[in-house]
Amino acid sequence: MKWYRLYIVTAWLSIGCSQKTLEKPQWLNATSSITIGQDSLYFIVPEANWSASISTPVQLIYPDLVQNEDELVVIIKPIGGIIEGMAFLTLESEENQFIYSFQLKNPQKVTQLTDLRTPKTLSTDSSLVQQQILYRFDDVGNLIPLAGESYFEEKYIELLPETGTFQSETGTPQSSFYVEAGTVVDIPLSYSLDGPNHQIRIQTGPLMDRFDNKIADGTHILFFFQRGDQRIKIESVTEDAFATLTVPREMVANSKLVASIAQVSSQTLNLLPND
Amino acid sequence: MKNQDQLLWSEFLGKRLLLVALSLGLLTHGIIIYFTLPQTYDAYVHMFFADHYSRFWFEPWEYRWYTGFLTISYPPLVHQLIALISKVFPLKIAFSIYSIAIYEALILGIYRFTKMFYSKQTAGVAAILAVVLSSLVETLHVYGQVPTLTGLAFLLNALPFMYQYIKSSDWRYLLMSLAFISVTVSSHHVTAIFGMVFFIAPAILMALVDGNPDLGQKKLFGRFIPDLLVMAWKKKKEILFFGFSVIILTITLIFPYWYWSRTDPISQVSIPHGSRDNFLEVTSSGLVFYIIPLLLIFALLPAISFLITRKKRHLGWAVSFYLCLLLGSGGTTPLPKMMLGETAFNILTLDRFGFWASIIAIPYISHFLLAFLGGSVKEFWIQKFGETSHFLILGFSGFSYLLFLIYIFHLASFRPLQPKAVAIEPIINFLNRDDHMRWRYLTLGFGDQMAWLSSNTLAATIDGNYHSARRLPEMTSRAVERLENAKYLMEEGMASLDDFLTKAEKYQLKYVFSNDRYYDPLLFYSGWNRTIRLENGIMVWEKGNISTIQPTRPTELNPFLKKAWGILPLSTLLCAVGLTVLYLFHFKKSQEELVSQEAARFFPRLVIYPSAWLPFILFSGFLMYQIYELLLVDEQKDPTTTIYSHFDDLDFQRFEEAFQFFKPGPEYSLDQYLLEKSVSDGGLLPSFAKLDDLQIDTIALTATAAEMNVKSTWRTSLGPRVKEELMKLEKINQHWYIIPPKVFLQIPEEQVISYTYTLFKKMGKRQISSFPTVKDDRIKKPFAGFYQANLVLVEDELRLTGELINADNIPITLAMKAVVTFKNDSSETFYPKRSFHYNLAPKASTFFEIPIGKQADSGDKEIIDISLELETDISERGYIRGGELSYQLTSDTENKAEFEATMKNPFTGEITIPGVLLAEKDASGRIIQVDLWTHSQSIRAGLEGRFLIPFQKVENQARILEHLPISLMINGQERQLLDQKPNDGFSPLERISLLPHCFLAQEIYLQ
Repeated sequence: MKWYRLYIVTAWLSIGCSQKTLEKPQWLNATSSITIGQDSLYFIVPEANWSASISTPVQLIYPDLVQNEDELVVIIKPIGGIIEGMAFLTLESEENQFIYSFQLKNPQKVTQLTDLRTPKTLSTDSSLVQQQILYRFDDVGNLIPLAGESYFEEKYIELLPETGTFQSETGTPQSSFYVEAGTVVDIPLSYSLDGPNHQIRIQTGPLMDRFDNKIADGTHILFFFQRGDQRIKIESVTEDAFATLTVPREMVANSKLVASIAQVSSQTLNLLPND
Repeated sequence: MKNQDQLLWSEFLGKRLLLVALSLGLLTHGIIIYFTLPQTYDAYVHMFFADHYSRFWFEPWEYRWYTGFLTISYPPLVHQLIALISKVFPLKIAFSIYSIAIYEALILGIYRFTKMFYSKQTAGVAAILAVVLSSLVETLHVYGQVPTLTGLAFLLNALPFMYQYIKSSDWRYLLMSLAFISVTVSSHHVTAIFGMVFFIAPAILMALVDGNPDLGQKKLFGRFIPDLLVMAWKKKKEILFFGFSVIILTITLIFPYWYWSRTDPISQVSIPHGSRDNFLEVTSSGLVFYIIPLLLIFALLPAISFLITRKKRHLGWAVSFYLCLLLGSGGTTPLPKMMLGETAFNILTLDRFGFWASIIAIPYISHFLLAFLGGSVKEFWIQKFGETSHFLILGFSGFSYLLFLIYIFHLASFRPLQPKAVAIEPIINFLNRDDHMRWRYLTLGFGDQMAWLSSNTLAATIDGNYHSARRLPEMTSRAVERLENAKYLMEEGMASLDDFLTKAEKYQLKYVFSNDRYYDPLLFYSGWNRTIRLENGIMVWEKGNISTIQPTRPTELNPFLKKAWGILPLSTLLCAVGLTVLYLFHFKKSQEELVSQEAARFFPRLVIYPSAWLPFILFSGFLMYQIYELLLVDEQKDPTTTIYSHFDDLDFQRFEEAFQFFKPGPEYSLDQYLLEKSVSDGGLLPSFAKLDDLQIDTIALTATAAEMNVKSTWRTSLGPRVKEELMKLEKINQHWYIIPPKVFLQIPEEQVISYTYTLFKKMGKRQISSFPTVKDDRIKKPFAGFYQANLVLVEDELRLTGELINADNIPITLAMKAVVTFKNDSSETFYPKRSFHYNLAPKASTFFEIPIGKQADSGDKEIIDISLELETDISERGYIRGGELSYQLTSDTENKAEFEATMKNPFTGEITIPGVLLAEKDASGRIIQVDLWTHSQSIRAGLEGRFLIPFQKVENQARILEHLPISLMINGQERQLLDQKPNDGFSPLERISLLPHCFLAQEIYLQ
C-alpha cells in the first residue's frame, strides 16, 4: 500500500522540476512617472514568452510588447484618457510575475478652469462678500494643479456694490454671477396734471438702493389713496427705477397719497387739495 | 318517418342558423366595435389592465394609479389574453379582436344553452337573437364590459355539460363543465359567484326533472317538491361533488383575489350608480339600465311567462328570471334593497341582474319567435288575419327593432357618454421629457380616456378608474368615482378634488392636464399655474415646490402566489380548449346529443295577441318618443317651458338655438345677441359654470304676456352661485317668446388702450443635457419673509394666519404648510386653501390663513408644537393679481361688515374673475381672519366693475393663542419674523385690509 506514496512524491518532484524560475527583468529606463502615448518601458528579460498588463485603480490596460531575444519594449498606446495615479506593470512568463510601480499620466491636454461662487446672486443689502473656489481639471476628469501647485484655491472676495451680471475668471456664461439691487431707500413722489384729459399723472422715482443702483424692474409698488372713508389701492410695478400711474382726476382729487414698496413708504402727498 | 325527417330538418336548419349567426356577428360587431369602443365606459380600463400584464406579467403591483394598487383585485384572464394579443397587434386592435372572439364564443354558448330547453332550430334562432339582443349590444358597445361577456360565454357553454353530468353521472361531462367554469372564474368573479345562483341551480333542477319524466307530471304544490328532493338526494353525490369542485376551483384559481379581499377589504363610502336610482324619477338611468336592455323582454313578456311556467322543468329558470327582473329595477321599488340588504345594495351595480334576466329569456323568446315565423302561431295568425297581415306585423316589428338597435349603436351621439377624443401623443411627449415623470399628474375632463393615457405612459397619476382597489382616504371617504369628472359629482366630487389640489405635496402631484375650463378657477385659487398649452389643446397646469415621488414599498405578495396568478388562469383556457378538442373528436360522437324535445305547439290567444303587437308598439313608440323629444316637442308652449328650454341651450352653449326663444324682430338680430353676449358674459358665470337648478315663479300672467322671476343656481368650481333675474315674455302665434332684456353696457372712453406688462422668463436648465443639473446651473431659492404669524382660536376652531412678503427681486411661487405635532408624537400637515396668494411679484406681500380645525385642549391630541414651513421658487406665471381697487366701508356692525368696491381694469384683457382677499385684524394689527371673495361677472379691458363685498367678522369670537410657539421655516432654514412691519399707507390703520386677487384667463404669460 505504500507504493502509491512513491508515485505522489515522484509526480511532485517532476512538476517542481518543470517550473523554471526566471530572473527579474531589468528595467533599463526606470522612472517614477510614465506618460501614456509618449513613454515606453525598456527591459532586459530572460528569453521566454512574456505578457504584460498595467493595472490602475480604475482600469486594466494591455500594452503592446516588442521582444527581440532578451530585449523587451513595453509600449503604452495612446487611449482616450485615463484617471491618473499609481499604476502597476505586471510582466508575466511561465508563471513568473514581476511587478513594477509608477505614476501613470495623460499627455498634456486641454484643461478647464472652474470658478465656483457662493452666493451666485448677491443683493446690495448684504455684505457683498462672496466665496470663490477655483480648481482645474482635464477632459477626463483629473484634477490638475493650479499655478501654485495646489489643487484648490479658496478666496473671499468683497464685491463692489454695483448691480449687474459679471463674468467669473473662466468667462463661461454658466459661471457668471449677479449683483442685484437692494431695498429702495426713498420713494420720491410727485404728480402732474394732464389738463385736457382730466387726469392726474403720478410718478415715483428715481427708485434707488443705498448705493444708487436702480431697483429691479417689476418691483411691486402700492399706491394708497385716501379721501375720507374712501380708500383706493392701486398696484403697479416699476420700470427702469420709475413707476407712473395715470388716474382720472375726479377719482383722486382732494386725496392723500402714499406710495410704498415693502416696508418703505413715501411722504404723504396731498393731491389737488383745493379741488 | 315524418318525425325523423322533421328532426333531421330541424338539426340541419339549427346548424345553418348558427353559422349564419356567427357570420353575422363577425360582420356587424366585428366592424362596429373599433368605432364604438372609444365611447364605452369600461373598454379603456380593461385595456389598462391588459397593458399592465403586457409590461409586468408576474408583478401584480401597479404603481400608475392611486399611488399603487394590486391587480389581483380583478380576475386576470381577460386582461392577460388581451395582453398576449397586444404583443402582435396594437392595444386597441387587440381589444377589438378579443371582443369579437368572445362574442362568437357567446353566440355558440347561447346556442348550446338553448338546446337544453328546445330543439336545434330554436337554438339556431337563439344564436341569431344573440347577435341583435339589445342587452348584449349595450354591454359590448356602450359599457365595453368584455369580462362580463367572457364569464357569461364560458358559463353558458359549461351549463349543458353540467346538465348532462347530473343526468348521466358521466365523469367526462363533469370534467368538461368544470373546465369551462374554471375559465369563467378566472375571467369574472361576479359571474362566477352569482352564476351559481341564477344559472347553475336552475340547470340542476332542470336536469333532475328531466332525469325523471314522471316528476314533471306531479302537481307543484302536491308531490312535486318532495319527489324533487328525493331525486336530488339520489343525485346527491353528483351535486355535492360538482358543488365542492366548483367551490375549490373558485378559491384556488383566483386565490390571490380572495386573499386580497380578506386582507385589504373595501371600506369606502358607497359610490352612487345610476342602476340604483328610482327609474321613474331618474328616467335617464331607467333608459340606460332598464329600458334599453330589457325592452324586448317586456314586449314578449306574455310569451316568456307562458313558456317559462308551462312545465316544471323550467321552475328554476322562472324563479331566476323574475328575481333578476326585480333586482334589476334598482331603487324603483324598495324590494331589491330589502332582499339584498343595504350593504350589498349600495356596493353592487344592479344592471347586471337585468342583463342576466335577458339571457335567461333568450330560449323562450327564440321559441316563440320560431313559432311566429314558421310554426303554430304563424298558422293561427294566417288563419285569422291572412298572410299579408302576418307579413306586415313581422316586418314592422323587425324593422322597428332594427331601428332601436341602430339607436343603441348611436346612443353616444344623442347622449354623449364621453368628452371628445383627446390626442394623447403631446401629453406623452410632455411626460417623457425633462424628468416630468418624476411627479404624479391628474387629468380633468378626459372621461374614461384617462385610462387610455395611462396605458400609454409609465407616468403615474393620482387618479384611477377601478374604484374597488383605491385606498386613498380623500377618495374613500366621499361618494366619488373619479377625480377627473368631479364636476358631475356635485359637492362631494368637488370637495375631493379640492383636497387633492390643495394637498398636492402629500401625493407629489405636480401636473394637471385640463380639458375642461370649468376647473380653471379652482386650479388658479388653489395655487396652480398654467404652464403650456399642448398641441392637442390641453392646458398643462403646474404647482411649484412639489417634491418628487419617493420610492414606496409596494404591497408584497408571496412569490408563489404571483406565479400562480400569472400561470393558472391562462392554463384554465388551455385546458378547456384541449378538453374541447378531445371531446369533439373522441367523445361527442359516441354520446347522445343534448337536444331537448320540448316544443310548445299551442299558444293561447292571450299570449299571441299581445306578443304579436307589443314589440311593434313598444319599439316604434320608443323611437317616436325619442324623435318627439328631439324634434317635435313644443319648447315654447308656455312661459315656464320656454324659459327652461332657453336656459338648457345656454347651459350647453347652443347660442343660436338659445336665440330662437327671443321675440323675433329686426331690432334684435342674432348678431346683436351674440355681440351683447360676448361683452356682457364672461366671468365665473356663465363661462365656468354648469346649470344646476332653475326656479321659475310667475309674477304676472295673462293670455299674451307674462312676467317671471327666474332664480338660477349654477355649479362652479368655487361653489354654487345664484342669479336672479326678471324675464318678460310675450305670446305670438301660439308660441311664447322672451323679450330681449335691455343690456346696459359700459362704454370705454378710449378707443385704444395700452398697458405695459413686465414679464419674466426663467431660463431653466441652460446646459442642454439629460444629466441632472450641474451646480452652476442651479438657481437660488428666492427670499421671503414673514411679517406675522398668529395662532387664532375662533370659537373652537384653530387657524394659522399672518402676512408674508416676497423679499426678492424676482416673482416667486409659494408653497406653504403647517406641521402640527401632538402630545402623542404624531403629526399632521395642513395647507392653505384659497385664502392666499400663491404667486407674488417682487416685494409684494400677501395674507394667509391655514385652517387647522378642531383640536383638543388636552390628551394625546393636544398640540405641543407648530412649524410653519414655506418653500419658494421662481415663478414667471400668474403674479399679476388684479386691477385698481377702490373700496369704502359702508356698513360695520359687531359681526358683519360690507364694502362698496370698484375695480378698474387697466389691462388689455378682461379680468375674468374679479376677486379680493380680505384680512381682518385686531386692535394691534394682528391678522385673525383671511377670506377670499369673488365676483361672478368679469370686467372687460378698460372698464370697471362695481360690487358689494359682504364680510363676516370674527373679532368677538377670536382669540390669539400666544402660549404655543410657532417655528418658522423658509426653504428648510429656521427664520424669525421680519423686524420691519409693512406700512399699508392708510391712517388710521385698517381693521379690514383688502388686496386684489383676480383670475385673468387670458394667457398673458404664455405668449
